[in-house]
Amino acid sequence: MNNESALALFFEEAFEQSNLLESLLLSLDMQPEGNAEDLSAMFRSAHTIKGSAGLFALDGLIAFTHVMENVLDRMRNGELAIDKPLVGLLLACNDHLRHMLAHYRSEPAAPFPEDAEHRRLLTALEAHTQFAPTAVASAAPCPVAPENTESGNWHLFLRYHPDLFQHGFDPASFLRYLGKHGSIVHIHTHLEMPDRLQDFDPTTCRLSNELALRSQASAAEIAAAFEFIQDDSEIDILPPASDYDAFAALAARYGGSPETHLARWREAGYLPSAAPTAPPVQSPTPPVEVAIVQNVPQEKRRSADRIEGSRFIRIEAAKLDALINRVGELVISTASSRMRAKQTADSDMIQAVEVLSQLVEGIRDDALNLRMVPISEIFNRFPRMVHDVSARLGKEIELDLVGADTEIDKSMIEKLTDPLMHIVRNAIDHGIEDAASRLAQGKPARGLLRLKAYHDTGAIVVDISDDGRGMNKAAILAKAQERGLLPEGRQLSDQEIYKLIFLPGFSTAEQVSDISGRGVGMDVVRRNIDALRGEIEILSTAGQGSTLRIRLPLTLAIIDGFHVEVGGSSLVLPLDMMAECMDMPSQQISRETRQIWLRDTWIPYVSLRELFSLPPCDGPEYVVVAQFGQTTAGIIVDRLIGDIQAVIKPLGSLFRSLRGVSGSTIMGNGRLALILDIPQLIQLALKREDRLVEQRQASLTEHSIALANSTTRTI
Amino acid sequence: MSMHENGRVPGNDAGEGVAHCVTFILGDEMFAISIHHIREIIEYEEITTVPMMPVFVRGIINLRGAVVPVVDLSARFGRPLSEIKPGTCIAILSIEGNDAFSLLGILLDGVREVVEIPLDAIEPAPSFGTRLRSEFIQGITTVAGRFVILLDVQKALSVNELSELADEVSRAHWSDALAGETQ
Repeated sequence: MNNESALALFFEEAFEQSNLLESLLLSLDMQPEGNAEDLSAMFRSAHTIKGSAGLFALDGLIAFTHVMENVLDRMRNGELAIDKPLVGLLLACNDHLRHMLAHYRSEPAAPFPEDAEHRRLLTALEAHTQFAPTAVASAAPCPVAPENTESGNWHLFLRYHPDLFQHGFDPASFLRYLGKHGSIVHIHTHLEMPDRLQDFDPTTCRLSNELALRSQASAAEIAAAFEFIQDDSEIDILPPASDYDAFAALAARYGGSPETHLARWREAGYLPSAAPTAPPVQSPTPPVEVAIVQNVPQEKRRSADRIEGSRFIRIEAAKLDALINRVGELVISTASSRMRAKQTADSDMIQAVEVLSQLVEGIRDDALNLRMVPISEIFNRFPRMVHDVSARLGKEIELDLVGADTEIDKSMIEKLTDPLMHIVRNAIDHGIEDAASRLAQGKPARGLLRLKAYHDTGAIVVDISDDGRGMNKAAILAKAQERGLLPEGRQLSDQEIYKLIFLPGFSTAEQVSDISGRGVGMDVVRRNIDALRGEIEILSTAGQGSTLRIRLPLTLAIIDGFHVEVGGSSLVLPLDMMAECMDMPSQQISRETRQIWLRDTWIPYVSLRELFSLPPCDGPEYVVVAQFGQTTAGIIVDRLIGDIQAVIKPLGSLFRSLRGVSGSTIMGNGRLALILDIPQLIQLALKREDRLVEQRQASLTEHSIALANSTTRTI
Repeated sequence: MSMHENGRVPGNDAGEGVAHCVTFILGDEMFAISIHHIREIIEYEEITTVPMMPVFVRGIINLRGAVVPVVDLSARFGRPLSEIKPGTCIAILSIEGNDAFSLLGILLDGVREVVEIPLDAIEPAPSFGTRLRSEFIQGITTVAGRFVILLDVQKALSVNELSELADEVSRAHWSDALAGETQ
């Protein structure tokens, strides 16, 4: 995603958050006592806007939302009495916030003209704020001088965490933000290069900054610039007129020899014994600039607004669905026209209809594409959430997001978010161990959680992997037994054991925590994924971690299919899972073991007639070679008909238990065909095969025992 | 035969003391269904069979873009499958489910007519002798001298019950492959 579209997304989200904030404020106005949930939601709205604005260095917005956030935070913590004037003030601030958003949307680079209203609101807000001293203490470990020092420079020592870039932060944005509080008089950037060039990893942040800042701001305001990175990176802030000892103490905490650092700082004029630094190049608040911005003609700004507005259109989802339904009907009727045209044998007619159907195909793709959005819409929510949850649990976790630009149907995004959140929460809570037990097992203290999205033969796959303890089969079995969820007298495969966790009322957490383990959840996860026609697979190695693999169909509406016939019924196979078709070989086939020789390898096959319990076919048969994931398998059908565009029509609730069939579609002649769910069908066939082998083994054993007994008796 | 949205024909008031019913033949018996449930009756068209379903589910048809299942009433009552004859047609019923109405087709043989049956001529279901589950029967009556069973389609074609039966058949079909999966 490029910066421009990211910015557009930001504005869309920011306005959404602002709308949310407004509705919450309004309900608060009706019931001034409020509830904790709404108050935190309000705080989060302001916080989200501030956080995202930070990514785009929209300084005015950050500063304003920061003050709003402070007030909302105090309301949330019950430190402020909520009354009508306060709610009114916040509503006015929210209006102003939208005004600011509109400004930045048309001119992201220009600072917001801070008019009288802006100043009035800020003053009113600030009357309600009071900085929490604890926040400052963590960021500024050295004694803090009285705030608003008139003379001298602040000295900031920023040693960024190596993963800074990977967490999506840009050091320059912090410096830009600092520029808002004053002017940077001196800056020293140090790049630590590895000894050998091949060890250089451009995604690792090896930068550190030392800078002198001339500012009237308070320690808290300066520290706030680093709010998002202060947990990982080492941020040291020395207030103006700090004495030599403070620098010496800092130098001692730095690696290497303290003298080198002190010498460097002396040279840069940081140390109090040195001569006073040069006066600032720029005054902290240049009044000229403000005047210029205010002089921008209103006309021009409005037209800029319009241009920005036309780049994205928010459409009601129902309208989009109606369009896609209609395109579906169009596809069906085009197929029917095509069939009729072929019957006329009029070549001009056939040609014309052929062109038409190609156009329709294009429209279909465009229409479906309208609903595709990058999965980053979901992924972007995770860094914050993982940070919060792991902090609450006292675990150190690294989040790795892979394939965030993979596109996915918008309607799936909504239904996929909750299940993913739940799975991730579970992985942090149950999967990844605490640092001590990780170290004891020889693993790095920091756990790894990876979310990976990718396309795989007509499906979107999302893997959620952790390097935690893996699934404990014994514990799952014991719990299932205790809850009476275990089927009687059967040996379960690993996959079957893992899948027990999806049963309603199943939870293995020994202690119910507030993060997960309430015993609801995994069954809801499975229901949500089922509703998307998706499948979940669990891979797990004890002690090394587990992966939940969610496989989802590319689209919920229209697919390219291949039309075949079995026993007089029309069936459609999803085309993107088909590798090839061929005649059923008369030789090179092992009917007993159900294997076909395909060029250089044996592949297993399933017969649809067999699966559907139909009588064997008396004519010639054909093989469709299907490929999905790691599996290649043959599917035996009676007749091959040809390509078809299948508009998926769900089968009603009467057919909800039907397996191996994902829906139906209307063909050119108006008749219905069933769309096969190839992965499910083949999986069922394989399981059936396994059971058959087991049964044969069992009967063989019985038979041998019986034989042995009878032999004994004869003797 | 198209009906009003809510399934009632204007002017068909229970207050008049009559029930408007469609009579049809199943095997050699005459049945009646209240027209409240009937959305329309269409000519028989070829039905797409759905594998692994109970025998009474004949398949699905395309009703102007909607997928509608078709049930064989005779098979539903545990009798032999209906034969498709020239006079066979499909009645599209609207059956109330848990949260919505769903459309369901039934195969009908020789639709006779829409008759008005006076409510006081409808008697309760006999305790035995009809070879039908008594809750499927709303009542019995006489039309033109013939014994007629007035069906309670809401019960006889309950979406829930049909789905459960379908579920059982599906489980039985895949019993070997599904063992271990609990529901």
